[in-house]
Amino acid sequence: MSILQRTLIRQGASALSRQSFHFTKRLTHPIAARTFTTSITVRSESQSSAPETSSTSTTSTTEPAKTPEAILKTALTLVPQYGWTTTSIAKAAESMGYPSIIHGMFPNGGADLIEYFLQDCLNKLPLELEGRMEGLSTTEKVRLGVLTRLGMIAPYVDRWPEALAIMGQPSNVAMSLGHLAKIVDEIWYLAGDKSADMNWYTKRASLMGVYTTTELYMTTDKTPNFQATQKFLDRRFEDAATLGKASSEVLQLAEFGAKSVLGLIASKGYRM
Amino acid sequence: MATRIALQQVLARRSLVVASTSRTAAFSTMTKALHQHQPQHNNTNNTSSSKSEPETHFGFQNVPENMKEALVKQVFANVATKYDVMNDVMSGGVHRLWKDHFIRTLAPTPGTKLLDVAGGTGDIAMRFLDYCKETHGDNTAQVTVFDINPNMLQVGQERFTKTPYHNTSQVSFMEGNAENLEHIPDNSMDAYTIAFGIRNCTHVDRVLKEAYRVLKPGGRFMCLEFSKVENPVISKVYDVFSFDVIPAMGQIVANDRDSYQYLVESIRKFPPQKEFAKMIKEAGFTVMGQGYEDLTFGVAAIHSGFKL
Repeated sequence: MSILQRTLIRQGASALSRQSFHFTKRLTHPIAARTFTTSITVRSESQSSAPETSSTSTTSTTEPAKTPEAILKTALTLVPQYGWTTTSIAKAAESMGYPSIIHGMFPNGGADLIEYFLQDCLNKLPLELEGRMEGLSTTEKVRLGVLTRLGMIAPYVDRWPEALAIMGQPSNVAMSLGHLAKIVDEIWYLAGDKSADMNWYTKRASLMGVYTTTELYMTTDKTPNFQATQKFLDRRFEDAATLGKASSEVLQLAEFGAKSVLGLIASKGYRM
Repeated sequence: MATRIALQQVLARRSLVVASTSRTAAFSTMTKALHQHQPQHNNTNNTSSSKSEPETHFGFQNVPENMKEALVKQVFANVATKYDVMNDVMSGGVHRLWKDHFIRTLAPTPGTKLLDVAGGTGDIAMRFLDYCKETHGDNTAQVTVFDINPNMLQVGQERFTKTPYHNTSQVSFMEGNAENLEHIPDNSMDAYTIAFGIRNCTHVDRVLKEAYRVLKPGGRFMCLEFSKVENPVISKVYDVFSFDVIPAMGQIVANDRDSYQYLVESIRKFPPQKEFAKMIKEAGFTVMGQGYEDLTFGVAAIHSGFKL
């Protein structure tokens, strides 16, 4: 069997298994909608409890390894006020009883703060989704994953365009793309994706597109509970489904064409 | 104000001592005497207490530990007046860029209290205050210029008289040994800087320990020092420049070859980047990442640590 044939067969198989990424149904799941709202309240709870954590971390200075993180954690609570800046870090350090000069621990300033936030979100995502995905279809799971993750941005949504600008700077692109890849990978993993073929890439690539556009939309969304964002997300899922269908049709056509060519070559007496 | 009067008294006393010896000749005489008497010195040490008198490096020579301080003092007494000119000549002005970058890395915030050790001529102190004024419009930042050498401090003081910082609480001068900051209380400084000074100290570990003591929790230790050039090609060029060009320039510009010979030798004797970063960690500082940043291929390096 030639390499070409093998590749074609594999691609045909991946086109079949891509059905799991068909978002044909309009999604109106009350559970998922509620989750988006609750995930926002979860974030704001942690935000309001942050000054408390800052006071505890001043007393726990005996744990030196934790301190850099503790400063960034407190700094997150100041982001709505001072933005993703060195100022947030310096003010946080001051509130914890440190001289503000300690901001030098984070020489990339805002970018370091953003990276900490992204990592923090990544760690929290599986915890927040634990036990809430049972009984949902793959599509619903992915939708819930995206909404939960977006919910984590909610407390900082007014400052998020600023974060996106910092993440877009050439020196930070590697960091932000890396985290985007981790976000979509985590969501697919939590949704139970076990693919180990080309499908792995296409799934993640299309979710990256969906996630990034929805996140951008969210920064301008002023509706209560980000209802418009949820609708926007559903529309993007529909697009992805259509795109998936279209691409699998194209693939089938290509496969048919390739097989015909191979048959033609074989009929001329060449053995493949 | 009291400290300033005390300092002036000290300075007067020092200048008397310095005047009594011939200033420029003093250092070379001392080293030569040392050379001649070294075997004898060792012998006497062996008979009495060779272990209680450990040796340390002074350039490429070994000297008894208790002598190094005086010898280093003499070097800087010799070069004090020409110090800034010679820095420019030797580095082609690059030392200014290093120092600018050093202060930008420190990025002081309004009201920062800085102790600038080995800061004699006020290079770092001036940049620090300028940064605070220009970046934050802040005139509450304070710097204490600390140096073992009254001649170097004198140059710094004269320099500050021409600036708006003169006679304000923003700048003060203090004479003393970096290994023993006895007049500076524990946990009192936001930042500690030492630029091109630490390699001249006899016990680097004691200097680091004292830095750790005087810094507030969360305070930052920063050191700018000559370091090791790893690139073999550049290292070759750098060696030729250091050992053949710099002492010759010292002869021409400052009429003092020995002092500059010592300066380049002491650079080679100072531990390389990684080793020094390890010493900083051992003193108790928290180091982020590898703990240092190379400047100009590692000719100089900025080391940094935080007291947590």
